[in-house]
Parts: sequence; structure tokens; C-alpha cells
Amino acid sequence: MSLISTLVKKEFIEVIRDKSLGASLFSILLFMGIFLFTTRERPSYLMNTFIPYISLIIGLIVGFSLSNSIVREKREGVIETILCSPMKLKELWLGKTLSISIMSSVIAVLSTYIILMLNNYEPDLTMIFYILFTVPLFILACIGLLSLIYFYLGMRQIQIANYILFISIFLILFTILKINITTEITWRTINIITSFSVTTFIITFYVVDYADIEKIILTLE
Amino acid sequence: MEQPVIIVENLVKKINDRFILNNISFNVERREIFGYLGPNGAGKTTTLRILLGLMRPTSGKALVLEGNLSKDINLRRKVGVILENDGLYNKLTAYENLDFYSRIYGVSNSSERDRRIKKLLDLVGLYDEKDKKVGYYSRGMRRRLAIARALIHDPEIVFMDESTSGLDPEAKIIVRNLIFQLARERDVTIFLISHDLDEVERLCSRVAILVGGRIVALDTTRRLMHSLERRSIEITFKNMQDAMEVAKYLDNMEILYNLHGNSIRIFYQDSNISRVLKPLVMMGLKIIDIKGNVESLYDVYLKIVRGD
Repeated sequence: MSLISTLVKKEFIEVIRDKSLGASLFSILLFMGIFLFTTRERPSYLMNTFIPYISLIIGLIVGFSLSNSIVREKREGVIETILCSPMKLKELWLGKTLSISIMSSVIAVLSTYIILMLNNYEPDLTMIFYILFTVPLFILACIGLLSLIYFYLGMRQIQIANYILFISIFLILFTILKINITTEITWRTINIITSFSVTTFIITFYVVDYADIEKIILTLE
Repeated sequence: MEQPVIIVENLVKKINDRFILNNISFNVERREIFGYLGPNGAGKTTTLRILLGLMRPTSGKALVLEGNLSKDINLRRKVGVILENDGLYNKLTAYENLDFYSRIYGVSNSSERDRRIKKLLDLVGLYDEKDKKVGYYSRGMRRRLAIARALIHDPEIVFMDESTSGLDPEAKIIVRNLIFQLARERDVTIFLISHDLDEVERLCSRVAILVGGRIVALDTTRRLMHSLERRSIEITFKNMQDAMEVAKYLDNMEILYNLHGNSIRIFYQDSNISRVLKPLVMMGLKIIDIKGNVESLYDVYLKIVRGD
């Protein structure tokens, strides 16, 4: 566990000093600005349908941006040096996943809280639980999966995967804002998202045990 | 007798039905600086990766300190690694980088960590730059810091891949001296992969040359150079006739030579230098200049790699 906490601490320091966090925060502010501008005139009950998506999308955009540290470390060969150390691949994966997920979740929760406050919207218990528990869990599951995929893909494949992910997030966002999908947060939705997140994370957690380090090394060529 | 610290026996590595390593065997003794040479694509980095437990051998044995680094995580604490990339985090300072690596290598006591970090930064001449982010370091400084990083946990063996590549001559000398100092003062065994033959010649006690996945030469650096060397002596005469007269004499003696105007380069083995020079002096020829030449490891390497 101490190796993981060492890695998480190091990741926090790096992210705070990295310009990419500033870029992510700028994108979020821009997004929030657009959202607030376009939702001012909407009835307050619609907030209940948008918030679930907004908090997830903000978290995923930040997580996606921060996950690039894995790609950078692969390109710079740091991962190869780390894999020669007593740190196991699973510890490296877990440390990366936790640090990126914690930072993304904190930003997602805070941004959502600001949007709610600016709209004078008072969330109920279901919404609070969803934002504080379900959203971070979903981010953790997605980042865990994304990190594992980044470990396994070559640089060119990562570029393609990034385009696909970015376009997917953009399309989801566009669809929500355009079609006004109405999905209210209920305990049932929370259960579904939580179960999906927990299952995905557990499966990824065990799949890492069977990860082939040689294949990862060969993607560094 | 002490067991070798690296044992490679009949090592084979095949990727996509292509032999990257084809039945290679060698040992590295404790406190030795072992040079591992070969042209690009010869299989040097693959050998290193198998030894470090990052790749699996198709068959054969690759042991470090009598164990397998892919299986024995604790054994990794006895091994230091400097790969082609420095393995440093650009956003962290030199001190923070060493602190991070010392923690993951299990140096748990904070005062001990601090002592080691400061000592190593001093050793590599970066103490005054310890609070500067590594991203602002020059290539030479990064390389020196990578050496400090590899030593932070007091390893018994250090694997170095192209430790001085891309460095300016001054930085190369500093890094070379550091490597030499390590082996002598800290009793560290060094496995050195390099393209810099001058460096290998100066540092390594033994050398293996790998070509196309096979070891084509394995010996002490001195013996390897001696067995393949063609020493030569270049004599410049006052006039061309004298040089031609010597050429005739060498023809009769079946000694190799190159004639260029009034200069002649004579190739000889250690034993027959006096046999060549004595008659020349007796002939009373007017010699202007004599220059001796000994082939470097570079010449020997080229001969082996090209199969001359």
C-alpha cells in the first residue's frame, strides 16, 4: 500500500505543476459558461435531468486529460524504468488510476456544486448521494479501464483511441444538450450505474493480474 | 569460487518466428565492468530486457544474482537500471525524483533517504541544482541524475544501456569517470551496453560482441584486441627509391605492407618487429620519420561485425 500512496503523492505533485490541469479547468469553465448560459431560462426541474450527465462528463473530460500522463511516461520510457523496480504493474496501475480518479472526481463534484449554487437549485438526498458517491465510482471504473488500455496500446493506437473517446464524449454532450434527454436520478438509476461501475472496476482489477508485461514493453518500440 | 552475478545459458528469444537471440551464453563476474556490444538490431536491448524480467526467454536461462527478476520482486532491490531513457519525471526536482525512487526501492527511513540523496547528488555534481525541475536539466545533467537514481538503493549490479549517448565530450568524461568510480569504490558490477567503443575500451574488463542475435566474440578487452590486432609501423624515407627497396625486401619476407610514395606502412605481429626493423637499419636507408599505430577496439569491432 505504501508504494501506491507514494505514487499517488507523486502524481498529485506532477499534476499540480502540469499545464494540462489548467487546460482541463479552462475547458470546464467554458463548458459551465455555455451550460449556464443555455439553461438560465429553463424550468428548474430540468436541472435534475442535466446534472447527472454534466458531473459525469466533467469528470471524464478531466480524467481523460490527466490520463495522458500514462502516454507521456510510455513515450519517455519512465514506465520501463518503473517496471524494473520492485513496483508491480498492478501497483503502478492502481496508483495511476486512484490519483487520476481522485483529482477528476474532486473537480467534477466542485464544478457540479458551483452549477447547482448558481442556479439556486437545492439537490435532494438522491442527487447528493449520486454526485458524491456514484459519479466518483463511475469515474474510477472508466479511468481504470482507460489506464489499462493505454498500457497495452502502441502510440499510434493510443492516438486513434483518443480521437474515438473525444468524439464519443462530444457526441454524448451534444445529444444531451440538443435533445433534452430526461433522465431523473432515482435510486434505481443509482443502483444501475453503481453496479456497472463496481463490476467494471473489479473485472479490470483482476485482468491487470494477467497483464503481459512483455506486450506492454513491445508497445514502447 | 564466487558464483557469477549474471548467468546466461543457451538463451533463445523468438518474436514472430524471427530469432532475436540465437543460443547465447555468457557470465558476468562480481565487480566486473562487462561491455555488451553490437550493431543496431543485434539483440542487445532484448538481452537486457530478458535479464531485467521485462521479457520472457523462448528457451534457455538468464539469471541475475542466481534468480529471475521477473519472478523475484525483492531481488530487484539489488539491481539498478539506467535504460536508454533516463526514467526521470520532468515535473519533479532532482531531489524529489531521487526521493520517489528511494521510496519505491524500500528505503523507508526518511533521514537515511535524505542522507543518501544528498550524498549521491554530491557524487554526481548536482547538489547545487537539487531543487531545479528535471525538465530544465541538460542531457548530461539528466544522465548524471539517472546514475544517482540507479544507485539510490545501493545495488549490487547496475545495468546501463547507452549511458553516454548524446552527451557532449565533457559530459561523457564525467559520466565515464562516475562509472569507473562506481565499479572500483562501491564494488558494483556493471553491465554496459554501448555504441561508444572508446568508452568500452577504457572501462570494460571483458566484452561480448553480438551480431544477428549470436555472440561472435567474448573475451577480455585486452585479449580480444590482441588476438585480432594488426599493429603497423609507418616509415617515411627521404626518397622513393629507398621505400621501393624496402618493399622488395618485405615481399621476400612475406610481410604485409602498403606503399604510398616515399612512405611505407608495415603490418607486423608483436614477435617480429625487430625482424623487420633490424635489416632496414642495416641497409643504411635514410629514414625521415617513424610512426607506430595500434588498432583500437573500434577497428577490432568492425572486423568482427563485418566478418573480416
